[in-house]
Amino acid sequence: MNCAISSGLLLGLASFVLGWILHFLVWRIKRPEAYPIWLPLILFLGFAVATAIYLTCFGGITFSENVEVLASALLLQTVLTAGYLMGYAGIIEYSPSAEVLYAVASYPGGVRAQDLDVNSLTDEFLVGKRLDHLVSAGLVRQSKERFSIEPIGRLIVEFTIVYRRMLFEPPFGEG
Amino acid sequence: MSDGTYVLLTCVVGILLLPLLTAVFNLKDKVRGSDISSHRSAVAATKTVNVIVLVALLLPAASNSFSSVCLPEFVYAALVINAAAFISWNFFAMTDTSMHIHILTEFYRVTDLSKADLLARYRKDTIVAARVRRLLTLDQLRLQDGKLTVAGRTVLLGAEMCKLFRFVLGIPIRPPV
Repeated sequence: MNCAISSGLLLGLASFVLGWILHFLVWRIKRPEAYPIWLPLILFLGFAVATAIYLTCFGGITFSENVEVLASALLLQTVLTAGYLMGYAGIIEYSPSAEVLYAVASYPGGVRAQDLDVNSLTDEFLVGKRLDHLVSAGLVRQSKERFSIEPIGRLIVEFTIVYRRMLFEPPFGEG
Repeated sequence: MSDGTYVLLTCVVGILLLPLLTAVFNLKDKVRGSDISSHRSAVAATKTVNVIVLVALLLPAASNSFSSVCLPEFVYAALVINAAAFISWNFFAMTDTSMHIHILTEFYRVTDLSKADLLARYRKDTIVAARVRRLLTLDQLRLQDGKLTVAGRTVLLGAEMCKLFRFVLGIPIRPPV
């Protein structure tokens, strides 16, 4: 049995669970607006605490064994944290695809596309709210009633174009 | 090389293969003249990488160069690879389905727009139509006799999980419209 990977698996899972409990407690007290900063910070705090406990109580005999355990736990913690962070966007943003499915499911005999009414979604909820996010994040500039893209926003779009071209996809997604 | 390092390196190679194989499957669709869908290709890439990593973990054991192969190695590799596959797919999905990114692309294509101009180009109807097309491609919706019905459960299952997390974290379960 490979002790380093087994210990790394247990440490990685324990640290993610610990981080998630901290995240749950903080969110129950006050949900931070800047979650892309706070969420990874809290989840990696769990990793730091779990690692300190592991090294104090169960540290391996050799230095190289400890390095393998910590590297495998860190890799697991990183992919779980990044995956959860991406999934969290779906938790707070209410996927329009899911709303479409719920709306279609509400018609037992099916529905024609032109008759489909997704009444849980509005222009303001879908577009207006996101335009406000982009303005407050400094990606879009508002000048009186007109909006235009900032250089950082332009850079993000150009990055997505390059990435999509690498996947042989059209340059722009449908949203 | 120690057993632990071998498992770690196998996982890292698997992670790197995920976007590469997604591109390869898209290229195959393009050469064949089929519709390209990175959502579909990402699923195919995930299945392929799972098989590659499984074989890579079994091979050294078969040739006795590994001390032994145990369940924790497979559980570890499966967790890392599938979490990385979720990240890789989400990264593409962000460029494809994110409304924030789409609004940015609308401003990228023109000098400036008013909110009314933006809504004339991108609004609820266009978003719902794009989602219906994508859900049909992904076999989550079916079009039969001109009527849409729910065909798959994967997206709905994801939505139900999101609802559960909202409930636990004290976030409103349904959109506050």
